[in-house]
Amino acid sequence: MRKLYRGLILFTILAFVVFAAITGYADKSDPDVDIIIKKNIEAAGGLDTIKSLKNISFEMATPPPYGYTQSVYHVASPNLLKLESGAIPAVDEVFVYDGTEFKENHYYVTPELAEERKVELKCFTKLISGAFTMMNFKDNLKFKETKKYGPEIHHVLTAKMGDCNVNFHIGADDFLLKRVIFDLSDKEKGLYQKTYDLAGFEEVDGLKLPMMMYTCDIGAGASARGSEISIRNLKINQDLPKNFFRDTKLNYGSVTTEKGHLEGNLILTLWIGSREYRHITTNFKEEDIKKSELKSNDKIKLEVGDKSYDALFLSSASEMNEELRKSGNVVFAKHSRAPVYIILMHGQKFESVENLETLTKIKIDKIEKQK
Amino acid sequence: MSIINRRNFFAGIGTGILGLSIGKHASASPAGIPSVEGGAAISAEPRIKKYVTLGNTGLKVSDLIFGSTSFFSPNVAEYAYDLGVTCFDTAENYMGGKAEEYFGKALKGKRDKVVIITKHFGRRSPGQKLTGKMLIEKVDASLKSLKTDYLDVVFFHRLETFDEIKDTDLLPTYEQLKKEGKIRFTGFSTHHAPVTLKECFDPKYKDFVQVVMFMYNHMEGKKIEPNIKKLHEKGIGTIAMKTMAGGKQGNLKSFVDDKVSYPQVAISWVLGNPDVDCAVLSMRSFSHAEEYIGASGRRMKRDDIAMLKRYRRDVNNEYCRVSCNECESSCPRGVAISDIMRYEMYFADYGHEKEAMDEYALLDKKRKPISCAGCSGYCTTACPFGLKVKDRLINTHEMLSA
Repeated sequence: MRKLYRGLILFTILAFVVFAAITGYADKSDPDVDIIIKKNIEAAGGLDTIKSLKNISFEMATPPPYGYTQSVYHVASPNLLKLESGAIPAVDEVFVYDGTEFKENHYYVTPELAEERKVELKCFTKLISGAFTMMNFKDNLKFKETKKYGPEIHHVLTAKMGDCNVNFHIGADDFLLKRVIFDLSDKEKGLYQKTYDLAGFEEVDGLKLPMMMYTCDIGAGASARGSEISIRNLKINQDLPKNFFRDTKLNYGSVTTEKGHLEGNLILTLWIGSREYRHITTNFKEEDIKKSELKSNDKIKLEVGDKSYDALFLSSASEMNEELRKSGNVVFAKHSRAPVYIILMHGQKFESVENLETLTKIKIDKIEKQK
Repeated sequence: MSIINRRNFFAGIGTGILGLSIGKHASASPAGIPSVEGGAAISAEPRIKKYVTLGNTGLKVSDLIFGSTSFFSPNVAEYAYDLGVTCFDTAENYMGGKAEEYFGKALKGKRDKVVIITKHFGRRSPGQKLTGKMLIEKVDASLKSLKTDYLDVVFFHRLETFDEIKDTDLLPTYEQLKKEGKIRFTGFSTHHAPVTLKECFDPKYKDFVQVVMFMYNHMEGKKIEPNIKKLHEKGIGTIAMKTMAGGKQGNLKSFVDDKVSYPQVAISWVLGNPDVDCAVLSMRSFSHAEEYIGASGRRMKRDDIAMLKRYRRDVNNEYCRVSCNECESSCPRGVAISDIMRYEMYFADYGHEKEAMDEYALLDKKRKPISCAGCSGYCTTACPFGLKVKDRLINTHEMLSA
């Protein structure tokens, strides 16, 4: 009988332990979204510091050798963005977003922005104005899961933006934003993901901000292999002109053209030391060249600032040959990857050419053959 | 459920109950789960499903190898390890030397559970004399960066022909390093498989050729399959690289549905060859690791074949099969066409701009397409796939020189 009692007691204890374990496990609910957001805001510098952010600007650049073109983000509120791109300070593309619509100006053309790009820009406007925190997404976020990436553990919060789900990964140890993943769908590409990994957090004016991003597309998309982007020249609370966020003007200047004559500006200049030549990007485009009626192998007089050169015009840079690469030759030709024309100056003497600031005046005159 | 989670849903079932399976190697305990109202389920991820033995080396490795030409954080490698990857491939020059250091950090405390492959001499100038002394210095530098006292496999990087090493003291030095216990196995990686996979069977290279890494994918490689088979039969480890045939899916349309992506199909095709032990893939981010590992142990399906056909159709006249080399013998000036086309691929498809330009700068000036503009284009005529080789060489020269 005693044995039976003992058995019953043991069974009851065991049953209680199992029940407690099961109910205890079930009680372990998802992390509280509000607590994650609160800790995320604190980790980035705190609510007061973030609220004191009136505007923020920074350059996003890919590493050399193509680091000479950048995108500059200017954000003043969750709904106010200006994105300038080009060889800064020369700007050849501007986007503005005022919370309702986007305007774009690319070489004075206004193409329609893809829906997924709009979602991306809207999302980043909210993120940046909230110092890369969840501050501006509060009401829209749901807990999705906890994910482990090697030694990193992330809380994943998700928000619906347009037709797209955006997933925000918050580090479970430091509560900083580590990843942003867009689940996208495109009629032609099908389903794909655009991912941003954020790293290199540094403290700037009391805010902890990422200085590096790695972006790639998974599935379809344009950058399946991905690229590393550095964030630099970060400026906070600048005095910006009144209409700054509405203004889509490009600053590389206009071109004047007539038969055998062109006038425009220098957008970018680089000295390629290992190959001993200077590379100058101009703002002349195909239609300008057409108007000037220049033809391949025309001899031209080229003025860059206060310097003058005898040069050769080529309709494409691929027409270059060894002879033309010899020291001292100057060539004006179409860029192989951009809709603009370039000047190539071969030889050591061009390393220290002066007055080649961005937007320096360039004049081109065809040298007529002597009869 | 996200695209990736949907894609890997079945992989998740195979590896454990949601929330309970963190990973075979994962060191994370419940203590590692966040403190915020703890206890949330950790999401299930794809896992390595197949482990193979690398030739006769006895090294047991995952069928997918973590490639390190570019990855943004050591944590990506550690994540891949958690998902079951046990083989990590690098080279002294990847990411300017940073890749070996990242592995040193990521694989700390796991050394006896992983296989490390590294490579040397990938960046050599034309005519440069290669010596055993250089090799010893390079191996010592790799050991230091990788924070280990032995290397499992050491490759001569990018071997073009055995003529490059046959008259040097490199081969006896590799053997000496094996005796000293600094390296365990040797071999080579190559983009010139039609040449090197023939030469490597010479008995004098028997001790050196233990593992080989070569370019192999669904668009090229048929030609070298008999030699891959021969390698396999002789017990030489076989690793395929450049498995995605340029990875041009980014520019194409509808290459993914919610179950399978083009890279997964391309990997499955490569591993479908029983003579290929494993495939190396550049896992640049957490997402790449998940996507590629989702292909481990996977078999080709009918829809996959259709997808590959579509890919081949779309990029047929665009993708240069750089190991094909039909064009190079037709060039009267000896331009290094296949190397230049490979650099173009690094630049345009892989996004390795700097690496491509640096490699191109090292190329012998005489082998650059400097005076191709005036040529009638023998290379274009010779290309069996109809690529406009001459125009591409001229444009690539511009791109990589500018």
